[in-house]
Parts: sequence; C-alpha cells; structure tokens
Amino acid sequence: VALTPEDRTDFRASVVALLDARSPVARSCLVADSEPGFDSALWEEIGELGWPGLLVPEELGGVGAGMTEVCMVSEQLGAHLTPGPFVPSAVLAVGALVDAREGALRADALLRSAAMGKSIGTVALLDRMPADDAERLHVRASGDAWLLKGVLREVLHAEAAAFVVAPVVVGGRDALAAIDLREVAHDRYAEGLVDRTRRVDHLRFDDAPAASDCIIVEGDAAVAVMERMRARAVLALAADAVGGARAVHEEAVAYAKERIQFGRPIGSFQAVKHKLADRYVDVLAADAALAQACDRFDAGGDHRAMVLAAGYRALTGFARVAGDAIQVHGGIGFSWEHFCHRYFKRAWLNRTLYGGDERLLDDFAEQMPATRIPVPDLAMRYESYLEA
Amino acid sequence: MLERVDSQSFRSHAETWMQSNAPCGWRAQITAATPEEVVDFYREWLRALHAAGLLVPHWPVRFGGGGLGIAEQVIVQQVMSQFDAPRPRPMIIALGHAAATLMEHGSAEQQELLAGILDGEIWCQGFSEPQAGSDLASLRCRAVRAGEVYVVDGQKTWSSFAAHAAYCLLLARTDPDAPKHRGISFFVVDMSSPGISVRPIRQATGSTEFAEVFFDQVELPAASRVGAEGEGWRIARTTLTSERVVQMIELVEQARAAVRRIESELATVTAASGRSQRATERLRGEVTETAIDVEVLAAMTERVMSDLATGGTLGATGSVLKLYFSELLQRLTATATRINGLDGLRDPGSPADIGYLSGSWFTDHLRSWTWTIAAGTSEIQRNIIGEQMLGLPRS
Repeated sequence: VALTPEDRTDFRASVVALLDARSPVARSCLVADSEPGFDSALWEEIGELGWPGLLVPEELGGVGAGMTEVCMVSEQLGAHLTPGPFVPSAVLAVGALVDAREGALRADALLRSAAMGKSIGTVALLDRMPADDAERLHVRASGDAWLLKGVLREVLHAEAAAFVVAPVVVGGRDALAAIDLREVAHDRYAEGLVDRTRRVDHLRFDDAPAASDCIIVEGDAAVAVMERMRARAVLALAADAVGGARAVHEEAVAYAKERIQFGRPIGSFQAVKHKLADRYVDVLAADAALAQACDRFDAGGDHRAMVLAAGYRALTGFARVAGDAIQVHGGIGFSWEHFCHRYFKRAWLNRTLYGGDERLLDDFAEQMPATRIPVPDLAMRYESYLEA
Repeated sequence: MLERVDSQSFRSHAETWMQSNAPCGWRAQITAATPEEVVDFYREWLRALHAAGLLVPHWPVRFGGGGLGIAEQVIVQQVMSQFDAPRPRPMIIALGHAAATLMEHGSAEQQELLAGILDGEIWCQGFSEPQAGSDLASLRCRAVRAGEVYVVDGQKTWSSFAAHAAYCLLLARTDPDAPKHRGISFFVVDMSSPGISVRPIRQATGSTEFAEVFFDQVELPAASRVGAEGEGWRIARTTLTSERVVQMIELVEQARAAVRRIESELATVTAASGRSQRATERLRGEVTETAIDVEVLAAMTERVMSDLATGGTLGATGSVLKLYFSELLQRLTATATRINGLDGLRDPGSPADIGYLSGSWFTDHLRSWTWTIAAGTSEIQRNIIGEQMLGLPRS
C-alpha cells in the first residue's frame, strides 16, 4: 500500500466532497425509493474516479490500496445513506478476484472490467454451516459445460450485477466460481426489505449451463479466499456503520442544541446529554477498533479477533446510536419525512446481513482461547505523552 | 504489526526473569497479612522488579528508568499477566500520577524524589474533600503564604494508602479571591510534617485502603509548590489524564488476563456445579461480549497513543477511556461473580486491596465502584464528553 497519511487525508476529503454534492441524504432517500435503487450516473462517476479499483493491483490498472482506503469510502456511503453496489462490487467481488488471481485468467478479465466500474459484480458469502446441502450451489460437469444447481442467498444488488462471485461445491470440494449473470440462467427473488438503500436478492440455478472456466479457485485456496471475503464484508459493513452512526449522531447533537423545551436547549439536560455521550463513546470505540482491524488485515498479520470485535462493536453500536437519535429527536424523529428511520433501517440491515452480529459473537468465541495479543508498534517515549 | 527486534529480546529477558522470580501464592499470603506486611511485600516486589529493569522500562534514563519505549511497558504488562505476577498496587500513585507530575512540572530538587519512588515509597493524593467531590474545584483546603513557607489547613478524604504514604500530592487554595479553578496550587507534602494526621476510612469492601488526612497549621517550604501559584488545577488535570492513557496499558492487560481467567472458571465451575446448559451459554455469551469490549479498549488506547504521537491533543479523550474502562470492569466482575455462584460471594475475611484479580470476584465487583466514582464519576465523565467533545450546553 503506497498511500501516505497525507494521501489518505486528501482521498477522504475527495470522497466527502463528491458525496456531499452528488448524494446528500435527501437525494439518497429519493434514489432508494425508486428503481433500480441506485444512481447509475453517480456509479459511473465513481468508476471514473477509480474507487472500484482501489483494491486492484497497480499492474492491472488499479490503485493497489487496502481495506483502510476502501473503508473510507464505505464509511462515507454510510454517512450519506448512499444506495448502490460499492460494497458487493468494489469491495467483495473485486477483493475476491484479487485474492483468487493466482493462475485464473478469467479473474483478470473480470477484474479489469469491474475495477473500471464498467461492470458491476456481487458476491454470495460462504455459509459455514449449511443447514442442508441442497441449500448450496453445486457445479457438475456435463459434456463440455458445467451445470449449476442450487441457491445463493443474500446477494446484494444482483439485478444490476454482471457477475456473482460465489462459493460452490464441485465434486464434494469447495470452490469459488465467477458466474456470468447475463449468460447463466437463474431465477431471482428480491427481498422487500425495510432498508431500501441496498437491494438484497436470492438466486436459484436449476441445472443452468455455465462457461467451463467459471471456477476461479478450488480447495483450500478457495476456502482461504472465502475467509478473506468474509473479513472484508465485516470490515466494509462496519465502516458503513461507523459512518452512519457518526452522521446520525451529529444530527442528534445538533438537534439537542437547538430544540428548546422548558426554556432550555434539551441538550443541557443530563438525561439527554449523557445518552448522547454514551452513544458518542460507541462511535469512537467502533471507529478505533475498525481502524486497527483494517491495519491488521492490510498488514497481512493475524487480524481475525480484531475484525470480529470491530464488526461487533460497529454493527451493534450503529443500531443503538440510530435508535437513540430517534429518541433525542422525539416526535419529529419518528416521522417518515425525517431521515432518522432511514439510518435505523440501514443499521439493522448491516447488523443482520451474512449471519449478523450473532455470528460475529460465535466466531469470536470460537477463536478466543487462541488469541495471542500482538504488541502495538508504539515506538514512542513516555515523556512525549506527558507533554501532549 | 511486527514487534521490533529489540522488543523481542526484551520480552525474552522479562519472561526468563519472571519465570524464576514471580511469587507464587501471593494472593493467599496477602489476604492473611496485616496492612504493614502487605505494604512490605509490595515494596520488596517493586524493588526486585526495578533491579531487573522491569519496573519502569519506559521512564527516561535520567530519572532512573530504562529509556525504552511504550512498547516495552506493554511487554512488561503482558508478561506479568502471563505469569500472574502482582502489580505493586499501593505504589500506583507514586509510579503514575506523582512521577509524571514531577517529571513534567517538578523542579530539579523535586525530581530527586523520583529515586524514592523507585525504592518503593508510597505516595497518596490529597485532592477530594468532604464538601468537594465531583465539584473538586470548589475545594477549601487553604495554603497561606507566610514568608518562605505556606501554612496549610484543611481536610482531605478518600486518599488511598495515606496511612503508609511518605508523600502526598496536595491541591490547596492559595487565592480565595480568584475564580475557583484559578486559585488552586499544587504541592508535594512530606507526610512526616508536624500537624498532619491520618484517619483510616473503612470502605464498603471492609478494607481500609482509603483515609482522611487532616492538615492543622502544617508548614510547607515554598519550594514544595509544583509549578506556579494558581496553576494547580491545570497541572493536576493534564498530568492525570495523560498518565491515565499510559496506565490504561496495564489495565488492558489485566483485563485480558481476567477474561482468560473467567473463561477457565466458567468451564471448571460449570463442570462441578451441574449448571444448566442454557445458563452456561448465557454466561459464555457475556464473557464473549466482555472479551470483545476489552479488545476494543485496547484499540482505543492504541489510537489515543498514536494520535498523541503524531501531535494530536488528548482533550476529553481521557474521559472516554476512563468511562469505557470503568463500566467494562463493572460488567466483567459481575459476570465473574455470577459464574462462581455462592463461591463468588464468600467473605474473603481480610480483603486487602490487591486489585481486581484478588480471587474474590464479589469484592472486585464491589470495588469497581471506586472506578465509576473516583477521579470524576462516570456522570462527570459524561458531562465532560457532552460539553467538551460534543459542545452541548452546560446543565
């Protein structure tokens, strides 16, 4: 990752500037309530700016950045309630293709197109414990072609996507497939969810023929890529949550300063002030944990515990912050016109997708005894803290 | 992140030394001991740690430290947890707030007192008063300048280990006409000065760690004032908050050790008690959430440190860390107490203060209120966060 701290600051500022101009909250709400559920002009603009190529290596025309930078975008999309396929396409599909590149030519072609924003990708995540083998997507050879049979759940923005990167079973082995959704026949079931800013679909394939090179990685290597997909998903949703939480909390604070009751701003009452202080601690805690989780993921070290902890704090924190933002706004916060409920709904989809925060708890509990705590790189002197 | 190479050899040194020197059975020993024996035990342990270079590796060499970085202090704390070694609890003010204040604001003469701290002297704080708790800046203890001395009259309370202290960090009012935050000065008081008397307070846990300190016409040399007259409030506040960040390293490692201990107790106690599967799962869920909170606290602490390293200011972030830690500690000790059933409520007899890994989870849980009350209650911390960080109007 070649970005300096100054580059990062500049990049963040450019993301904020673009979304402030092109995706203010009121516009995000309008777009979300209409079809196709995102602003394709904005998506093209994002593509021209190179955001979908953040994770792509420079030799393939990308930026060669890491999850830290991707999460900056995701955070601002959350803050602006921006609809669209950035997380499934630019983070998860592109990330998986980058991770699966070794020896898979097909991945390179898809990657070039997705990285430029020319095509939209999406993903299905590995279900660690499938309730029923029939619930998974199976691939079997038939003559020259492959036939796909089974289901992919929780596929974001599948209608707009050109391809889906998905875990499949080939001859009893785990593999990862890149399936061309324009070519491969499937049924799409759209969920009508309360959060309209993301579209969630389920896909069913019924012995659908697919290109023979659709499998991009197999076996243990595929499982490793899927685990990284999952970590990326947790980080990207956590970033969305941190951005959303910070934005809706700022609104609640601003309202508490201007809303007068009993002759005083309601923010001067400790019941309100303390609630806002507690929720601000939620924001700061999630933000600090997320930054460290991204650092560890990008550094290639042991990131599992921190990713799960950050995800849990961020996803549950956003729901608390958004709920208390409604409370602080009072009656107006409960109206349809006010945006509080939009953040609340986004928070609840974030905390529920891909197994949700309950699964994060399970996974964290599973790795707990093994946690070996790394020493932070604090090459710093005691005196400098005292002087600060 | 990678450890630096010299950090690795420092860790090996700490582990090797701790392997042969960490005391065994010290909790039982302390529980049965008199307060004097407890203090003696910790003093000997502190001296041994210092001789091995493991007490204050992060202090500058000119003050008797190891001249190493914060990373080495993290390693010491991790290794101490690994070997379940005691922290020199009664010397916590001396090693923390007192030392930081002397290094940062003390005169050359005052800085000579650091040698005594490294020899195991106990320091106490004279901040709170019966009528000045959360509203600390309204303190009334007076220090009146009379030539080359100040004459101090007043009463301090909730002063930890005052009965054993060699020195006291004192906040006293030197200018009753100034606005309340500006009329306060900071002093280092020799506890053997004539006119000082100490009366232990028996606290809710049954122990007498805290005490009241009475000052009756106590004469302090003018040279015992730290910083300028009227600067006492600022000195106490800034040093306290920055030192708290460094102290958080130790607290994080202790909390991690506590989580590991609770996990193993959950397994052992459950096997022995016939607790239902459902109850076990509920408790395990609480332990998991606590473990997550501890890792998040570690990330928050690290972020504050790296912000400071790159020229940021602490502001009210110290309040965020303190609030987060205090409430986490309260949840953690409650869960641990419940896991242990009646055993968790067993009266430890003589609950000598040995931190929150005392072996009596209920005592530790009860003692967690010292964290949510002392050094600014959780409510005061929320006010600070609300007003200073969020800009909400004062109540």
